[in-house]
Amino acid sequence: MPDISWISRQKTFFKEPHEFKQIQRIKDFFNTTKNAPTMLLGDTSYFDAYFNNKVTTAPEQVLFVCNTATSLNEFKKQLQSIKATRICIAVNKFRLYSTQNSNTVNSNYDISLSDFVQDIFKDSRIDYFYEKDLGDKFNFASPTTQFYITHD
Amino acid sequence: MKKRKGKNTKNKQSNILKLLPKGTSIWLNNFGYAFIDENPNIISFENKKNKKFLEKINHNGKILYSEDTLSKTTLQYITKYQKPTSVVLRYGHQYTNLKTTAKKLNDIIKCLPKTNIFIILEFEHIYYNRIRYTQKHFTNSLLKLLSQPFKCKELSFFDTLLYDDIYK
Repeated sequence: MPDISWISRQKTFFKEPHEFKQIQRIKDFFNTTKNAPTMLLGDTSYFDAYFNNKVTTAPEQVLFVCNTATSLNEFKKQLQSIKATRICIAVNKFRLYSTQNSNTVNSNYDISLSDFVQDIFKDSRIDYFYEKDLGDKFNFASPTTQFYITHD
Repeated sequence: MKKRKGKNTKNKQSNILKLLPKGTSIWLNNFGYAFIDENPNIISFENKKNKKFLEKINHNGKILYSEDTLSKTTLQYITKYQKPTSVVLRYGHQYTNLKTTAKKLNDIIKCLPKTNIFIILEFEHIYYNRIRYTQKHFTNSLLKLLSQPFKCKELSFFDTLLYDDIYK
């Protein structure tokens, strides 16, 4: 884990205090459930102080931030291991990679990534956020692609 | 999760040194000044916006500056006045897809005749369908779209070097 989180580093690029839209979205999602048993997975050090009841087993909610080079197989296994009623998955889509071609998936990357997650969380409600443009929102360095998964 | 291989840029790019032909080697926005001890024929072209920062660094390398190191004007200046035997450039920060990448690289190649070209593809900055295709598939597809043949070498997990060897 780096000494300074990727979010803190990016924030130093600006003089005025602020929160990134993609980070605020995560905070908003968990705003009313901060005290619930929460499991933090992946590159989540920035959110350590945000949650009041961090657990390593039996979570009610999970935040998974995937911001390192990760194969689709690994990513799939990680997603399949998550069992909770409220889940946020934030992924840097530029750091995912595949070890074999799969010509049957949708040709649009953003749609096929959504299909990939939907296939794992079949019976859940999923709100999906991603940046359509490619260059101006640190999306090469940040997990700006986000899935908010809830069960009714 | 997989750790990146060769995260250190210098280590990654030092692999290119042994592939360079004799003569002037131009490194475009690519930290060439860091290798001046290993190869005194390297000349760096860096982005003008980094000039103040680079002038503070204690290095022996020769650095020239340009508003856009990959522009037609810069490339034509390099060909005409520096007469390099090799040009090394990074490609990826432009956030392009396969077809755009091929078009932009072909435009660059056209401006660099009679020069060994080394292109570092930075996959962390290239948009392609990572669920549908492997990085290797993207590279092979790109090679088919380029106007001249290139060889491939993996520099690190997300960085692939394309290079030709017209002087070897």
